[in-house]
Amino acid sequence: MSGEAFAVATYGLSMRYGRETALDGVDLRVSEGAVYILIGANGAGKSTAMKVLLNLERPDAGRAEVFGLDTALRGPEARAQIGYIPEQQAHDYAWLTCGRLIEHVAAHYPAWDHAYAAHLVSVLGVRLERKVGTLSKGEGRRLQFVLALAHRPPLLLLDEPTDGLDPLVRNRTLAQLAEHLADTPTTVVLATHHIHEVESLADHVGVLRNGRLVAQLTRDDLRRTVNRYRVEVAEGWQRPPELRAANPRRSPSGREMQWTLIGEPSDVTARLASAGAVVRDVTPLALEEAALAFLAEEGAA
Amino acid sequence: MLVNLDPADGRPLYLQIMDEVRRSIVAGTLKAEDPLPSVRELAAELVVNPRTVSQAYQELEREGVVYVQRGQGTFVSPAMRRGGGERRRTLAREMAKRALLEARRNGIDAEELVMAIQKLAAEEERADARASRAKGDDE
Amino acid sequence: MDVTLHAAPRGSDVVREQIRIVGVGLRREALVAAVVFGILTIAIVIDIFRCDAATWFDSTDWTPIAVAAFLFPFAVWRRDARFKPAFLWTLPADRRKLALAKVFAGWVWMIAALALLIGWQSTLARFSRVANAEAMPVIALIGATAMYLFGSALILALRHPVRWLVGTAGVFFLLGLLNQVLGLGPDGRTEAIITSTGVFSALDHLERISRMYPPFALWAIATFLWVGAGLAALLAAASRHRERRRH
Repeated sequence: MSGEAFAVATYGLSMRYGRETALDGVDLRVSEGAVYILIGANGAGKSTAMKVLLNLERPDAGRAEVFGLDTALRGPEARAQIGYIPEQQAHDYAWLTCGRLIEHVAAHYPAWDHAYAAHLVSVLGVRLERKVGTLSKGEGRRLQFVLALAHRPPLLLLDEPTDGLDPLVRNRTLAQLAEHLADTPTTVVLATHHIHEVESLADHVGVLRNGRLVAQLTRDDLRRTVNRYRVEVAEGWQRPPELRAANPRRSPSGREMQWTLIGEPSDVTARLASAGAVVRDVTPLALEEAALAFLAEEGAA
Repeated sequence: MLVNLDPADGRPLYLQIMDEVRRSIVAGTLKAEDPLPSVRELAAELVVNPRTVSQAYQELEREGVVYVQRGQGTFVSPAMRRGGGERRRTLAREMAKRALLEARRNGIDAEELVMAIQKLAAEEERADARASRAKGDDE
Repeated sequence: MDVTLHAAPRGSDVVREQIRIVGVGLRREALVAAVVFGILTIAIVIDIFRCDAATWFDSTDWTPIAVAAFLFPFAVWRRDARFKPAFLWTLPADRRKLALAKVFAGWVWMIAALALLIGWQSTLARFSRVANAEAMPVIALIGATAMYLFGSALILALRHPVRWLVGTAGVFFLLGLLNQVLGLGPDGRTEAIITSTGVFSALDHLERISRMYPPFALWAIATFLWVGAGLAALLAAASRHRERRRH
C-alpha cells in the first residue's frame, strides 16, 4: 500500500558476520503505532536488525528506513526518534552513577521529559546513587527502561526487554509500558523469545528464522490462519505436500492425525477433505503457539 | 468491575474484555451511568495494548452498552437499566455457544450435552436438598 | 498516528555534555595526580627549607609532558568500545562529530591540567630561592596539544592502539639489534630510516625543537607543522567513524 506510513521499513536487508548469515533479504514493515513483536531463536537476526535501524551496523545489502529517514544516510536523525534497550548491558559507563548516566543521556534528547524521567525512576525503583556497574541484570534493565522511555520517542526498539526481570518487576515494568503507550503515540518493535511475557501487548508479529523473515502479519491474521487441525484418515495416509505444517502427531493406530497448519481455515479444510481426510476439529491457538509454528514449520529452508 | 483475561482463551483480547464488561453488567457489579476504568488504567492493569482496550470500548459503544463523554471517560449507558432479561439471554447464549463448540470437539452432540447439563443440575439440586435436610436434623 | 519527529541535539549541547562527562571520567586519574603532586610538593618544600632544592629546577626536559600528552587520550577513551556498537554510538549525534567532540573535551581537560601544572611550577619556582628557576613556558601547551592529537588519532584509527605501539616498539628494538649485528653503527642507514619514521622520532624531534628555545618564527613554523600534522591525522582517523556510508 503506497498510502500507509511505516515507522520501520527495511528493503532486502542482508548481513553476514563472517560465514554466519545474520539477515537474509529481510523486508520488515512496521506500521506507525503498531506493537510489533519480532520472534526468533537466539542468533536469528533480531538484534542485528535493530542495530541496522540505529546505524550501528552497516548491512551488506539492502537499506532501512525509520519514519522515512534512511538510517545509513541520516543516522543521527533516525536515532533521535528511537528509544533503544539493547540486549546486552553497556559496560562502557559502569563507573557512572545511575543519576549521572540519566543526566548524560538526557543532554542528547531535546525532547527529554525530566518530570516523566523522575516518575519512571520512582515507579521502576531505580536507585540514582548506585553505580551502573554494580547493578544486577534486572536493575540494569529498569534503568534502561527509564533511558528509553523518558524522551517519549516515536519508536521504541526493545531487545529482550524482559530479560533478567523477576516476574513481579516484569509485570510492573510492562504495565508501565502499557501506560506509556496509552499516553504517548509510540511504535514498538520488541524482539523476544519469551513470547508469552509480552504477547498481550502485541498487535503485529514477525518471525525470523535463520536470518529470513518467514512471517509478518497482524495478530488477527495470525490467529485466523494458524490453527491446530485434528483429522481422521485411513492408515498410511499422507498429508498433501502443499500444506504448510508444523508439529505433526499421529495416533498409534495411525487413523488419527494432528498438526498445526498454516493457511485460511476454509482453504486448508477443503484441501484436507479433498485428500480424503475427515476434519474432526479446528482449534485456534494462543499467539505464542501460533507464532512458534513458523519456527517449527516442516520442510522450510 | 474486575476484568480477567484468559491467556489460553483463543479469542481476541478485545472480545474477552467486552465479555467481561457485559458479565459485570448482568451480575450487577456495573450499573447504568457507572464509569468504566480509563483505557490507560485498564491497559496497565491487564498489561495489554491500549489499542485493544480502545477497540473493546468502541465496539461496546457501537452496541449501545456504553457511551463516551468526551474528556470525562466511558460510562455504562442508561439503557442498561432495562432489558436485563434479554442481556441474560445473550450471555447464556454466548456460554452455550462455547460449551457446544467444546462438546463437538469431543464428539458429543447438542442433545447429549443438554441432557448431561440437565442431569448434573438435577443431581446438584438433590445434593443441596440433602445438605439442608441434614442441617435441619442437627438443629 | 500523527508522528512529530524529534529533533537531534544541538552540536553545542553535545560538546558541553562531552566536556562534563569526560571530566567525570577522569576523576580517578585526577585523584592519582593530586596525590603524586601533593607528595612532590611536600618533598620540594622540605628541600626548599633546607636550601637544597636546586636539583628540582635544573631540568627543562619536556619528554614527560610529551609522553603524558600522548597517553592522555588513552585515559579519555579507556572505557569506550569504539569499534563495537558502543553505548556512545547509540546517542543521536553524528558519530564522527561525537568522536571529535570527545577529543576536544579531553583536550580541554588536558590544557586545564597543564595550566595547573604550570601554575604549580611557577609558584614553587618563585619560592625556591634557586637562581634561574623557571616554570615550563606556555609554549609547551602547543607541543602537548600536538602529542595529544597524535595519540587521539591513534586511538580513533586503530582497534588495538596499545598492541600497535608495543609492536612498533618491538620492531624498532629488533631493527636496533640488527644494526648492531650488522655493525652499521649509530650513523648507519637502518638507523636513519628508524629515526626518520615512527612515533619515537616524532617525540625526539619535538623535544629537540622545544629544547632549542627557537626564535619566534621558527617555533611558529614548527607549531604549525606539528599541530597541523596532528589535526590532519586526527581528521583522517575520525573518518573511520563516519556515518554517511553505503556499502
